Amino acid sequence: MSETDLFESLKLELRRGSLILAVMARLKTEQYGYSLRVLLAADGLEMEESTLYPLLRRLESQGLLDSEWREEDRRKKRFYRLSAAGETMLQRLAAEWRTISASLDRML
Amino acid sequence: MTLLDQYLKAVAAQLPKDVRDDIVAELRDMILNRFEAREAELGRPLTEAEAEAILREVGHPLAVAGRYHTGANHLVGPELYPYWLFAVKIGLAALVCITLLATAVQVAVGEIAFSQAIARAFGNLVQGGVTLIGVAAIAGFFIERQETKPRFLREWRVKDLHLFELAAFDTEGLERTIRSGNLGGKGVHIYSWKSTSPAANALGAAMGLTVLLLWWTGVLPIADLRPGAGSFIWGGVDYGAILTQIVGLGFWPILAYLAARIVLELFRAWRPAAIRPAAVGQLALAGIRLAGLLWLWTASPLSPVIHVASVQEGVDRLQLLVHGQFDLAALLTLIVIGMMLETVGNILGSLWRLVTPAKPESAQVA
Repeated sequence: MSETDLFESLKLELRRGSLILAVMARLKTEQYGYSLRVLLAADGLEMEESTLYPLLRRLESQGLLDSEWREEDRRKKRFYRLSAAGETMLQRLAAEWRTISASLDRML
Repeated sequence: MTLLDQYLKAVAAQLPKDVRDDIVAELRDMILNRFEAREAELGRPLTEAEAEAILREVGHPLAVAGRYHTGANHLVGPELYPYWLFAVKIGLAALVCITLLATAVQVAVGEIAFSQAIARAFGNLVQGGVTLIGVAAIAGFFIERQETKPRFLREWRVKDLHLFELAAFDTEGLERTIRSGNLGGKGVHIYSWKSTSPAANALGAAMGLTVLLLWWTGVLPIADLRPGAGSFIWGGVDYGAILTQIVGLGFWPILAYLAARIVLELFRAWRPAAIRPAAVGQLALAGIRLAGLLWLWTASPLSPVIHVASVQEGVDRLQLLVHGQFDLAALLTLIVIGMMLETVGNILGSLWRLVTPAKPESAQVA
């Protein structure tokens, strides 16, 4: 494995957990899949649809997101939003993230 | 039908029925958004090739549908894999041992020539090995899909870990053993079954019995169960014909017995603390085994060869063997008597465990 490949593989592992946090944070306001992806990309967090859409369904099945189908721009879209349980979970995860981040900042 | 419809139909075919429409509708919206964004960039409608390129970016229908799968996405997952590999190694080792032994016996009694035996053993090992791995993969598939993993996978003990050294069949390991002088020399440490836990014992027994069952059913072609009349004659007795007749008469009972033993051993591994239920099972199976041995002794096609009418006759046969006069019938007599005594001991042991169940080893502090 070349150094670039190794870097990409490690970067992927590093990003995996943090993307869940980013998705949950962005869903404090209601979004549908595509608009969420665009929003994340604008924040510098590109995310493949193949990762994002199954993740949204998983978070919803875990009770962390609410969703509803609505028509917008003459097309039916599924809108997601953080549920009450999701908001509590986000706060706990954000606190954990800050602790990890502070620890790593001291080390790096 | 548009390109998108065709694509979504292929995805839908792979999705569970209850979520199919929902997922497909969402994918349709997502892909249409992608199409529109690209059209906005180009300032014109997409060509079919450009639309197809976007669909390829989204992913192959099998892969896309697979990402929505909620259960296990692998045959044997990373958590189970080391255990699976260990079981396969043990199974393959048992297969090699049994095949070599069977081949050696066949060559020794002159059933087949050495060169023919080598070729047959090699073929049997390849075919048996592939079958064994296939059976292990099916077992792994089912274990992987259980809600809770079997207890012996979760609650392992340091005391049992030497069992896992058995699968380190590397020359480096052998070299280390030889260098350390622990191969048959002073200070050699022999691990006995007594030193392992009941769960480890039961697992080992289940693995050995599985290989035996696979051979009995013909899945593992180790040695022919029905060699036929005239294939092996010793001292004027046609053992080939006798074996063929015994297998014909006892095939299904022995198959059922082996299957029951495997189930019992797996139960013992799963619930090492359930001593009484295990003892009941062992007692029942030992009773069946004893009945089978008594049949072999008194009424089977082998009976006229091995049966001795009096103790004196038995002693006489033993003396012949002791004085170096090899007699296969006498050896078989001794083996069957030994097996009957062992079975009676097993019955008494099971009865004892039923009356006074000792504390399971897992409950004791080492």
